[in-house]
Amino acid sequence: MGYNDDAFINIVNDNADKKRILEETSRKSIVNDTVRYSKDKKKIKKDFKSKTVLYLLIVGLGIGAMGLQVTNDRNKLSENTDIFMEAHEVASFVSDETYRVNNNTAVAYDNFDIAKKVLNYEGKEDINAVIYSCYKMYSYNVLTQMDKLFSNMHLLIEGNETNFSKEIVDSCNYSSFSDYLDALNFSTIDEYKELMEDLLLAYSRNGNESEEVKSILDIINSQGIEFGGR
Amino acid sequence: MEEEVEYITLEDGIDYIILDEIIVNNIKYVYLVNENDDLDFVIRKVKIENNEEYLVGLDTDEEFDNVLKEYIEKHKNDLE
Repeated sequence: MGYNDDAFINIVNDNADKKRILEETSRKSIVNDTVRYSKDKKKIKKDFKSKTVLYLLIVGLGIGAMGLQVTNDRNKLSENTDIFMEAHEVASFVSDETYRVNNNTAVAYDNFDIAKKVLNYEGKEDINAVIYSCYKMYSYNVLTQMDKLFSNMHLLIEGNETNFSKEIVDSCNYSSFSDYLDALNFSTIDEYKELMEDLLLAYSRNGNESEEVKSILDIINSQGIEFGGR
Repeated sequence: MEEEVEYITLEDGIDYIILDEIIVNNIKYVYLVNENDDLDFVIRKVKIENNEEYLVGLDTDEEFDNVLKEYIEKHKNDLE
């Protein structure tokens, strides 16, 4: 990749544009039309195809992936969806500043900014649910992104513990995602995902103060979030 | 400089460049872009009738979400 024209930079940076394009693509794709799939060949300006392959990817990543995740989860659940709204808010505030052009050639998550926003999250949900919403939000190199997220949170917390709540410090002050998983005593990512999905589901079904939510949080805490990160 | 690409003319009479074909749950999906507008995308799926392939529209938002996710999954490394 290596596009550096105005259109490319605009689409990377303009989330409203990405959202509009995605909605338009959805609208034009869900139609009741039929045509014979008869391919022809023609010559067009070089790089048009490779550039547009990337455009669609950026549009999908910028709005689609995290929006879709929420949409799909909502489809599975018909009742209270507060937690998904919260997760969507997390995803949304991240999406506003998720992408940037690095050296004009690469697009990357701004994990430092994401870390700041997670640490300052003021919703009612448990911070581990917020962290998991980030896990669900990342669309590529998830484990690497999570490592960067934790590394940045660790950087922000170290020496500034008094600026954050005890819950935040206890849950976020790990230098890597694997350290965090170790602290929760998860052996595999699948175990982690399963429990966190249960937690989101419990939030969705019964709300923040429900016994089901408390019981899952008890499990998480008893598994090892024994305060005092690394 | 030019390159040769495959395209299809859709019901609106516009030629769309074929960006990719991806099979999801045994259904072939085709990702298209308007040759005159590099931000005008469309996704169709292939239906076979009497040994002929036809492009038809997607049925639901969920189907759109899923096939876009498959596209992202396939191309995400292009960003690195």
